[in-house]
Amino acid sequence: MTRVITVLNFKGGTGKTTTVVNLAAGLALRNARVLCIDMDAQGNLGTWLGVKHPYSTSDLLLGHVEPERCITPARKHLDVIIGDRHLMRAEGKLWRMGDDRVARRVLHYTMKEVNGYDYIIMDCAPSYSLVTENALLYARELIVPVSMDYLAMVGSRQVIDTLKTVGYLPDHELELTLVVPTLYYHRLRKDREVMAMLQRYFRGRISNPIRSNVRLAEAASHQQTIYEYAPHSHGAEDYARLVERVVKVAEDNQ
Amino acid sequence: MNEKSDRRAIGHDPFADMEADGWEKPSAEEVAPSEEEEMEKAAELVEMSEAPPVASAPSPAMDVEATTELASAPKTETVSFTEVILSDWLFSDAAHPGASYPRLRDFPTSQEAAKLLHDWLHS
Repeated sequence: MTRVITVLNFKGGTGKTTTVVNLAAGLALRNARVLCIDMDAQGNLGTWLGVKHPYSTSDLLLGHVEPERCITPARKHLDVIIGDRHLMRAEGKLWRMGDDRVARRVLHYTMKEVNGYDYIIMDCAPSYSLVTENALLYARELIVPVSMDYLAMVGSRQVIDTLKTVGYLPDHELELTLVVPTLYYHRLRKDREVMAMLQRYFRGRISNPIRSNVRLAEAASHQQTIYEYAPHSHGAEDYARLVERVVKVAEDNQ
Repeated sequence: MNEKSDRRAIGHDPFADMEADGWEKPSAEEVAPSEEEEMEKAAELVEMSEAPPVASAPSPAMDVEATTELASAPKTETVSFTEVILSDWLFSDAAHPGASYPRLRDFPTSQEAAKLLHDWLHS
């Protein structure tokens, strides 16, 4: 069964795209079939993976082409639907549909035609929008990266609040799978305090921290995953552990 | 405690009212470490005790708090027992108040942790 995961924090710069890229690539290296969907108009997912394609998430949402034509291979076992600035236009058109119930579930209905993936992972923009809501109403699992600062925690709190309204709709189940501490630097008191707070409220749902590692930022500029760019770095080690944890969540639930 | 150690880096807990708002705290089952986590922790401690000691002084970049607290740690009778006890202490809440992550990972490498331990034992 396909696991559909959305990665979201309403604060920017918390490591959402970094997490999507390296989680997806790690799963693909384990021979899982993975599709990433960029729900952000910045289109960083395609940029990071060095992928260009004529059809993007906006074409998917607006039904311009069949879903399969929006998908393009990025790596072995790893496909992607890129995001671009046209998502802004898609957002406007979704608003003008007039029927909220349909507009919020376009992705859910559209993706029913897409099969054959073990994981579908969505990278969301750090804001609440109909596009984000489509991701939340399509996903069954939520991963929240939280960087080690106050506003990132506030952003994750906002996601939890959203989960309450979206996750418990009668015909939709969305669960918080993992909180992923990112940009963690153990020598900073601030980071230790943030970790302690996260542990207090989310223990059992917290992954290993992703340590602050310059190689992760460098990897994006080389359009490589961390396993390609710096396979022996802390970043690669931490994301490999996250991959194991994500796989284990499913095994534990079986 | 002096003023510096009382200072909190995060002044407000954004999750504080979450429970009143309907958020369910993790169950006891979720909070308890799994057998696998316990095994992992034990393996890390063994790895640390087996790491080759390094004779040089601690690097200037070493965690000031950890080093200070290390110096005031209680000594015990035998080296092997000390290592076990100190390992326990070194990665405990006493050494890192508020830290919630496996303490070994508070050091960049297990070699650095072993070096700290070795330097303290032979000081």
